[in-house]
Amino acid sequence: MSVKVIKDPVYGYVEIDSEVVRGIIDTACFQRLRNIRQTSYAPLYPASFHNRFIHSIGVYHLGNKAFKAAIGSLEEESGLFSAEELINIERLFGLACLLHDVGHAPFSHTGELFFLADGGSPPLIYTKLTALVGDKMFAADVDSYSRAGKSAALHEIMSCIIALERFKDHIRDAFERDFFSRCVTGHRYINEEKGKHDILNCFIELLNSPIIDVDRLDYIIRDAQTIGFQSVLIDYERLLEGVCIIKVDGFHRLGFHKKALSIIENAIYAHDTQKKWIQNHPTILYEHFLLQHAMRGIDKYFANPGKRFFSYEALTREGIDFGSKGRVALLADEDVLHMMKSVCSDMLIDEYFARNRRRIPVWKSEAEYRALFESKLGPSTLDQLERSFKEIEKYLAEHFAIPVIDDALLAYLQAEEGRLIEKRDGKEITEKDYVNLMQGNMKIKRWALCLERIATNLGIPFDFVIISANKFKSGFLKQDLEKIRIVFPSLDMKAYIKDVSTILTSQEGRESFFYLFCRKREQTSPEEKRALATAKDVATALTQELFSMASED
Amino acid sequence: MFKFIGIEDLVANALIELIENKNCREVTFETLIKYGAVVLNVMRANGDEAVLLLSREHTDELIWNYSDLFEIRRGDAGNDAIVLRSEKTVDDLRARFRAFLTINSLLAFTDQLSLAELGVAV
Repeated sequence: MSVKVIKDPVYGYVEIDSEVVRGIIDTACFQRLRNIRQTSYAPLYPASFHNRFIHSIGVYHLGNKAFKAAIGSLEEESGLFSAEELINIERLFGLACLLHDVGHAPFSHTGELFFLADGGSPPLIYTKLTALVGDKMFAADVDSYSRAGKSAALHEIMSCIIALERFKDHIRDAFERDFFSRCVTGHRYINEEKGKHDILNCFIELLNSPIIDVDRLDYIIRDAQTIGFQSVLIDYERLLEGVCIIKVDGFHRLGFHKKALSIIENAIYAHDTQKKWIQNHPTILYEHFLLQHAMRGIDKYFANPGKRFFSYEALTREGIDFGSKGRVALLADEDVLHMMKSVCSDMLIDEYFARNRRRIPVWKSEAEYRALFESKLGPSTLDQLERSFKEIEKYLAEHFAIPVIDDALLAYLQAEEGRLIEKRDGKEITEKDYVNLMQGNMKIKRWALCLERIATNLGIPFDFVIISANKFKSGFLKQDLEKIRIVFPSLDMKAYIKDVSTILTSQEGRESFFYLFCRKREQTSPEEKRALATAKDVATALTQELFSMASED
Repeated sequence: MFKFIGIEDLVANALIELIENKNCREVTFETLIKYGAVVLNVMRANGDEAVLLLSREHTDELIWNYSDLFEIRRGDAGNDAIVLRSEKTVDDLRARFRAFLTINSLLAFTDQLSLAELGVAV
């Protein structure tokens, strides 16, 4: 087998079969990933411009190592699969690692929700995937996952569709389509046949599991290293050497040798640290807010019966023709930026390009938020406050294309009262629903007037945005985390991580908080500088207002 | 306007109808998906574009963010359901999920075709 090498800044030289390079990596579909940013961290970490292309190469590299370790641990049980079958399973697993993100939308996860815009229910991309795989057991398992509220992520589905449509020479028969798609989507074989599906499930978990898999491992390591974020080191070689397949109640299950335990803890810590300090940062959340607004506008601009900007066709080289609006092909971040600059511009999109026009967050972290409110308001009042602001955010998203708290909102609320009375009198809505809607209207109005008062007192524009954020909790669900199996060979013991590690100590608490963004007052002269309203002034005024309002509630 | 309908809104509005009309405090994901499909159709018929957010990330978010209201009941044959916690009432749901909707969304959630998917006859 001839190989080519690709230099990865994280792992060094990665060897890849020449045929895979020519037949997959060098195709337009895969090269598109060079133009999809890996993260949304750029507003905070300017060096964060690494892309899905190098991430996919990295996952392929880690996947190979993990697969070899897993297979190595199975040696004493030869005969479960023939040598040819194992070689093919390894090849397919490698392809799944390489292609797991090939269907990613522009700007990573911000864009993928628009894959649903085709309007199907269940969404067309789900039915398209099951039709492409063409396997009854796969379709039944997809249905089961859906009935458990665990449908695959949209980019995973789209990646399978692209791969199955575009790389038919590499993913050929029903078994190959089925196993490949399961690896990418994480849909395990539910009705396992011992010695077959249970082993295949271990490989599926290696690429797509709720906790540690090679996809997550690569981005945790790569993101931190590329952007310059200080975090713990993750000895991935030691972790992957610890991958093993063990027997539990007669079934093969994925486990980790005890030597991997400290690295698993580090990986969980590194993941959660990024989540807490980067993904939840108000600058990142505000940029996401702007991009999602822009994408709604772009989707609407191109929307046509049977044609969407964010679609399978748009990801291909052939592309999709929108007549006088042009053709979209190999859709990537730059296409969205082009549309934002050229045809879909508005006040919020301008803010994307001119950061000095953006609103500023009144508090800049969960810690600041806690310092401002937690001790002053107490848990139950604060809970009420958080809920109220979440409700306002939701109301704005429901009712407005540009969700801002300003004079337009107050005027709308006033007019809405009249509309609600009309609907009730016309028996279009029930009395109960009328009462609920009217109470909601009053509540929003009360908070909007409070913010208007603060703005007037501080001499800043009455112009606020609310964006919810999740209070920090481990990004891993406890019940998922608990299921990691650790093997202690010298003790001849297997245990669940919850019984041997203290990492699972987070407590339940209130779940979300919010950021409030405001505009600064225009500075008219240098002497006025000290008198300018600052974020701190807004926060102080808000605390006073909130305290008195919350006490009335 | 393009709307994202979160799983929490779908669950809450389904449960309001189920509790008030059938005294039933849970809804299966299977029913929820069917109900959501009809809600979308009604919205589209009224000129609104909307999509449902029902993938595993959204279910996980539901568990994280609304654990004070809902819990998951694992059912037979993977037919899982979302259950309103015993200490919560339909008024709690109404106050949080019916008060901030647009009238079009409310009409879609309570349309006769949508309710039929819940087995609620009006």
